[in-house]
Parts: sequence; structure tokens; C-alpha cells
Amino acid sequence: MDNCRKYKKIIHEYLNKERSDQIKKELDTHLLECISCKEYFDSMLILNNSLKRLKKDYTIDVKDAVMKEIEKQQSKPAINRKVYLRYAAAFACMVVVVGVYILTGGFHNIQRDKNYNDTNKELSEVQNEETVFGITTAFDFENQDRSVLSPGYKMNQEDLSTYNYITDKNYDEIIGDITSVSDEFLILDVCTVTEKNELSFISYNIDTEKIAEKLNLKKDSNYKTDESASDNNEYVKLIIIYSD
Amino acid sequence: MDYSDEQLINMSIKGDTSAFGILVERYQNKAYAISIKIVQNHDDALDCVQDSFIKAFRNLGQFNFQSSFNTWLYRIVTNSSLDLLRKNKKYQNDVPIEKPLTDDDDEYFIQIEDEKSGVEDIVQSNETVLAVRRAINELSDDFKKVIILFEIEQLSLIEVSRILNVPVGTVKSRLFRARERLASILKEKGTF
Repeated sequence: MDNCRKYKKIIHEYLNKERSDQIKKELDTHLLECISCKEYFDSMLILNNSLKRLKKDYTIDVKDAVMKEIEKQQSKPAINRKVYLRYAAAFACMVVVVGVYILTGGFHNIQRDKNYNDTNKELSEVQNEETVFGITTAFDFENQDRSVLSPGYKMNQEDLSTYNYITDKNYDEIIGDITSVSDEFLILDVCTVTEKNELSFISYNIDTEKIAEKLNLKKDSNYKTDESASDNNEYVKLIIIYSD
Repeated sequence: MDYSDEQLINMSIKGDTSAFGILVERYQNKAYAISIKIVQNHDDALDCVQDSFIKAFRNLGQFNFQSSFNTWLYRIVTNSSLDLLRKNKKYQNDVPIEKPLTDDDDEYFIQIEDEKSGVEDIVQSNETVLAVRRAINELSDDFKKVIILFEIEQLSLIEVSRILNVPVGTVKSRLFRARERLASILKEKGTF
């Protein structure tokens, strides 16, 4: 049997045209003696010949079609196609941004042209704020007053009470936590001043303590709540100093 | 002047598209022969060959001259044809009968065949060849590739290995198993 296995391998080597002359005699001798190998060899031979008969010489002419297509493509240089793709990508981004703006009623980045009322920060510093998109989009449209989200809405921040907190969490962690509570609470105008590790947002006055508790915030002893702001104001501003 | 493939490729890269036209003329028939075995449809094979040349032209800059152009082209043709075959499943059960098969002047096994009785009659049968063609359709892609490139198109083991980008040993191993699988299919169908 081992011998047959050896000849089976030789048969395939023979079919592979690897060692035809050297082993031909030896193979022929074995095939005369072994019916099993002879049957195997015959079936492989029929197969091999049938496969070879499938080979045909064809004559086609695709040159003109290929050259025409290549010339057509060359009239639109690859670099231009890339530029078009970039325009398309930029347009798609713009559509997404406008869509988000319309759906959320604007980003409410009203702090861009106002100073923080409790720290007298310079306008130039405030202009470094980075609006965090996506947070306000979690606003529950069905249960909240849509008027606060209407485009062009301006909230007078000077009238807002400001609450200062600190947290041991870093930026990514606190932003993640804020995002996770945004379904539960109204959270607007999330802004960051990265140079100062400062993050702020506006929320309902009534929710302030609950939000602080949910986010595990500690009151910042360096600040006192702005007494000049009306306690009756519906909204408050929370400023959080996060860790590096 | 008869330019080498390498010269024509360099001229094409520099913008001489007519040089690429010479390459198309040089290899289109063989490329078609490979594709038609896989897709088994004239129009699809023509499309595959055209697309393959266009792909090759677009990527000429990436051709590293470590293999020959035809090897690289046949790889593109093989893969494009298999991709098309997968998309058009219908071809798997719709094997067109091409023009009647005729005897080939292939002498490779003549001497051995002469020593056996009865085998020639079976080999001569067009039905057997057609059955083999149908059986090829039942092979996996890897087996189909080696059978078409080595057994039908008569490329060398090294050429097949380069086209498929696998070691020669892998080609041999696949050939062994592909032949056995084909024989098994043909036995099941009563051809052998």
C-alpha cells in the first residue's frame, strides 16, 4: 500500500511534467503489476487529456476599446477626480452640520460674544471656546420646551446663576458622563476652554443638584454662587474644572 | 523595432499610450483564453479582459518588474473573472456549448496511451470533455485556478505559482487535490 502511495505521488509528478523520462519505465512496470494504480492512472490520464482538449486558441481584438477607455480616463486626470471627491466630502459634511443645526435649533454657542460674568474673562479667551457638538442633540424634543431651541434664540447669560464645580475626571471622562446624562436632563451650550481645563453648560435650575450628583461633581470652594443672578431664573450655568 | 515588455511599460508610464496598445495586442488572446474558461461566456470574458487591461494601465506605476507583465496581467484577469463569476451565479448552471471540440495535436501522452486499450475511445469522446468542463465549475476557486492555468492553459508550475502568488509546492498540492476532486465528481456522474 505504501508502494502504491508512492506511485500515486509519482503519477501526479508525471502529470506535472516534473520527471517524465526518469520514472516512465519504473511507472510502467508498476502499472502492469498493480490493478489499483493502473485504474487510478487511467482515470487521471483521461482527465488530463480531457482538460488539455479544453485549451483553444482564441483571436480577439479589444485594443481599440481599451485604448478608447484609457484616453477617456486620461482626459479626466486622477488629481481632478481626487479634488472632486474632496469637494463631495466637504459638501456632505456641510449637509450634516446644517442638518444637525436645524434639528437641534442651533448650537446655542451664545458665549462666543460674551464674557464669563463671574470671572471677568477677556473676550479673546472666551473666543477660544470649543463647542462640543452632539451634546445638545440629545435633548428630548418631546418633553422639553422647544422654544429654547429655536434658531436665533439668545440666552442672556448675565442673568444666569453660575455654579462652579471641580472633578477628578479628565476631559474625555467628564464629556462622556455629560453625554450619558443628556437624555435625562436639559443640557445646552456645552463649551470648553481647554487652556483652563474648564467646561461649562447651561441647564435647568431645578436640575442642578441632581446633575452634580449624577456627574459626581464637587463644589469649587474658590467660587461662590453669583448672588446677583436671579434665583428665580429657569436656567443656570454650570462651570466644571476637570483634571488633566 | 520589437520592444520588450519592460520597455513598453516604461514608455506607457511616461505617457506613451500607444506602447500600452502593443502590450494589449501581445496578451489579449491569452488573457481571453483564461477568462473564458472561468466565466464561460464570451461577452463577460471580453469585459473582463478589457477591464483587466484598464486596471493594469492604471496601476502600471505600481508594477515592480519582479515578475513578468503577462504573469501580473493574468493574475488580474483570473481575479476579475472569478469576481464576475461570483456575481453572476447563473453561469454556474448554464454552461454554453462552444464550437464542437476537435482533436488537439498534443503528443504528450501519446506513447503511454498507445500502450493501453480502451482509453483512447473515452478520451475521444466530446461528452467526456464536456463533463469535465462542467465538473470544473463545481471546484472551489483555488482548485479551479490551478486546473485552468496549469492543465488547460499549459502554463508552467512556476508561472502558475507567480500568477497565484503562492509557492510552487502549494500549486502542486492544489493540483493533486483538484485532480482527485475532479475524478471524484466525474465518477459520481458516471463519466468514469
